Amino acid sequence: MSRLPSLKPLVLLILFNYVVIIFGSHVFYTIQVNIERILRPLPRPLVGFVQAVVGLLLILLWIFVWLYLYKHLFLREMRRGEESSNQV
Amino acid sequence: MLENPVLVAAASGAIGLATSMLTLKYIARNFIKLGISGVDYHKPGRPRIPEMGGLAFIIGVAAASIPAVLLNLHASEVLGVLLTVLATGLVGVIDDLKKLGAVEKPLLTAAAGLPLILLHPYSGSLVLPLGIIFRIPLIYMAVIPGLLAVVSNSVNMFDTMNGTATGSSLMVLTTLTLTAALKHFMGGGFDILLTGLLFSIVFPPMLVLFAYNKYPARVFVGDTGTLSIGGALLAFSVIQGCEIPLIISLLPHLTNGFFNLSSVGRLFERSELKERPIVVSENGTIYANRDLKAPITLTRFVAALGFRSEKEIIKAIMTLCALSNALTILTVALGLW
Repeated sequence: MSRLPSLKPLVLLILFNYVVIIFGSHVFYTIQVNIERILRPLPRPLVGFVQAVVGLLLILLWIFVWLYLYKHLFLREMRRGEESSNQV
Repeated sequence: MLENPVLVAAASGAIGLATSMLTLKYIARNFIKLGISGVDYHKPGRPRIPEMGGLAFIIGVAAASIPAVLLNLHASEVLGVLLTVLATGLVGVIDDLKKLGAVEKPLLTAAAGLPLILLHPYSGSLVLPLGIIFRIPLIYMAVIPGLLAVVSNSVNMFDTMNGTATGSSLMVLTTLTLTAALKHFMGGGFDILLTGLLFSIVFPPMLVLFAYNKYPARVFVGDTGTLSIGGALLAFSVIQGCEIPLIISLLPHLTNGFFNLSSVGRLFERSELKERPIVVSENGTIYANRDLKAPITLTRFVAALGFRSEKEIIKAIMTLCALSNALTILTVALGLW
């Protein structure tokens, strides 16, 4: 575990995904229940469609942030590596 | 007395250990002569190493399953694991002998989920964190092939350095078993005898495989090994109802697989890559490839963080796996799942 500090960007990514899995599912569930409550007067297939679209958008948002974080952190490390090799 | 579950589990463990050990000894001695070998690119001198060591895992699991199936002790659950391992292992054998295409492999591994669906040794409920339970038997059935393709191919893509796929899978299997045991003792309704039986069938062959595959590798597991190990992990967690613990434990694998795909922009085979993610110098020092077209794999990321030798990179990757497995156990212990 002494290696953890030097693995900081990857540890951050794992913790980010962990938090999304643990608390995101509750947020996801609450949003779905509220959509059903608000749209109750509308036909059932339409409510289901809205729930599916919102669910998909939330998952895409998670994947987008995950992808952005990973690329950003990786490119930052590559730049740092280049800078330190230029200094040498 | 013969039907005592503890005795059956012990017998299964001993049979699995012995058969996988004998098979691996045979593979280590004869597969190079038979032309079934691969090059270890991360070592100076690039030695040839026997391939398809995963056959020992498949044979070990098959032999270890015999006592439970003959005595009809949790037969459908044991057969569920066995047939999933055999089916994914068959896809791996075909891929090792005659390279499968980038689309064919995930499709065939998804199809390998059929035996598990037909045997139906699972509840069909998805237990999410913070006490949310979805009872979705039909959707669950439809999701199994997709999950199997994702898990098997993630383990497969994680096999970049000696022992990373086998060592991390050992950690995941142990964590899933501990999770089920913790839930049993916390009153979660888990069958600890079933957990112990499945563990005793899968763990010993995986341990023997790791002993031969760990740095410096004496045997490569091949796609035969990685796909069948992924199949075993998925079947184990589906039968136990531990899907979320499996996902948390596999976070490094999923991150690696996901970014392999997203940086290339499509499904691909490793042999298709024009730019390798890492560069290995003559003396074995490893550098992250600076070409922006190279896939951003976990190994490349770890190399970019300054880990230079194969051994250092393996230790760094295993540290990340240990962290995600520790998070899984913490989640269960704190009652979050």
